Amino acid sequence: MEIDERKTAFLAIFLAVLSLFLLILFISSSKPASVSIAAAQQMPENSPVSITGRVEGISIKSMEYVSLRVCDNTGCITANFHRDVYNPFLLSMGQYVTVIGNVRAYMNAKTLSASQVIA
Amino acid sequence: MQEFLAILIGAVLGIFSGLVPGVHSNTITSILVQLSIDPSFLGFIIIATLAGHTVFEFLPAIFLGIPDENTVVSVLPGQRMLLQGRSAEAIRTCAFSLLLSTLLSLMLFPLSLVLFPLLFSFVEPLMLPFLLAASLFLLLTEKEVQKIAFASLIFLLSGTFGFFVLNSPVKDPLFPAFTGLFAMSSLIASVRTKQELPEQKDRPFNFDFLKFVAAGVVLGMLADLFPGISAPAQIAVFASAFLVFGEPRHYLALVSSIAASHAIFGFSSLIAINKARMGALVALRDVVEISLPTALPYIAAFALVVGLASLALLFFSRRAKELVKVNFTHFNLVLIFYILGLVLIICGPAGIIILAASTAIGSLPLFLGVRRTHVMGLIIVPSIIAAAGKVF
Repeated sequence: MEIDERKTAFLAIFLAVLSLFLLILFISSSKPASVSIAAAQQMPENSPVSITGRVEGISIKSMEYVSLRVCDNTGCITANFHRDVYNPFLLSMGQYVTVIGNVRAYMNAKTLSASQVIA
Repeated sequence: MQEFLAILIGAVLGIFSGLVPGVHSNTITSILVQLSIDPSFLGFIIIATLAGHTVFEFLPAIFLGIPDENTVVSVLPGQRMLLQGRSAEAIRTCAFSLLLSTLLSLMLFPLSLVLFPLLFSFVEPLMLPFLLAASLFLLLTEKEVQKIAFASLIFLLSGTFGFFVLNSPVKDPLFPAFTGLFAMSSLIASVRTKQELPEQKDRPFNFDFLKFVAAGVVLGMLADLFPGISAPAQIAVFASAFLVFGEPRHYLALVSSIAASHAIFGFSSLIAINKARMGALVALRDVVEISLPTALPYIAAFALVVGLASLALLFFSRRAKELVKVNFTHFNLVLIFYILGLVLIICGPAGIIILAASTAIGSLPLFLGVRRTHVMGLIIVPSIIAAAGKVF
């Protein structure tokens, strides 16, 4: 078999299309389903979750960690995250945010350990 | 989706770092992690940069730093093809092998997750004898006694230098060390010589390198089990024990396949044995939690960029005729000053001292007529010392 430009381009396009399909599949399956805050609070610890609500409180716990109070019409939850996840000074009260992370149980209350904050 | 924007940014950065000698994707990654970027977004940029770099690093390896074949013995196979007017064939061989080895590596990825813990449990206690045997093998491949002596000198010199460089307080010390060993020494050698390049012809060629692609995939996978064995050209030397390179195209197919396979199976070693063998994967592990489900989108992103960047590489192979008309002597001179500036900014004045010393060591194989892979003693000797420390 001879290798010409057309065959190489075909192989490149095949790999690109295949990996694009896999990428979309993996990204959509790796993102947790969006739920209400009340539903998030009912979920077991470590469950991956995505919630959307308005910012009701911002507390900078240390030089590195931030605590965000997020509420929707079903309830409120605290999302904790490292400052590398999102710059807290870019957030404002009443702003709507989506928080992606894992449910944590602490002192009989459910919180979120956020891996992503989308404002 | 923001992931695609990150992949696009990373691919552009990777192509840039691949095209410009002295700029490694690890350098770009080390700058990116200092910035305040969303971790998952940053993860995709890091992996796309690695993929773009993996594809495009073959272009300067063929076109830049061309030494005079009459005065310098160790001309790289891609450069030899350029000197024969076959640069388009060299580029297309790299692109085809990268694509094929990426597909094969993706197919073998699930198997590697099962094999890696088993292989590593077998290999780990033997790390010291393996590294010693591998080093000895590298030196003995020179065959002639005088060349073995030269190679041993270069290996030990690089190793001693590497030991002090890795323990120095200089920021990012491997950047000036590797830049000097490979890029700077080639650039200086090419500026000193005036090489006339022949007209480049684009001809189809036979697909006679499948066994080299297959060997590249297996070797790239196995290399992820060992520290210090990471440069594709270095791994390719081991292949010379059981493979006969009929012509330079076979060597290029092997090296390209090792590069792609080493990156994909790097994820296997990270997931299965918790060992990051590449700078990009160390950075990825630092910014996002890596497990099988979280790693899969990054592996797909790597393959996507390899596919798209290979298409871009084909565009360059079409332009091979025009590329050789560029005055590379002036271009190489500009690059030398650019690298000096970059090292000064990133590492400070101490970086310039490391760069000068590593350039001197990197020039030795060119003039003593031995393989340049012996300078990888820079990483292998400190790894041997570390492995010996665990044993004794």
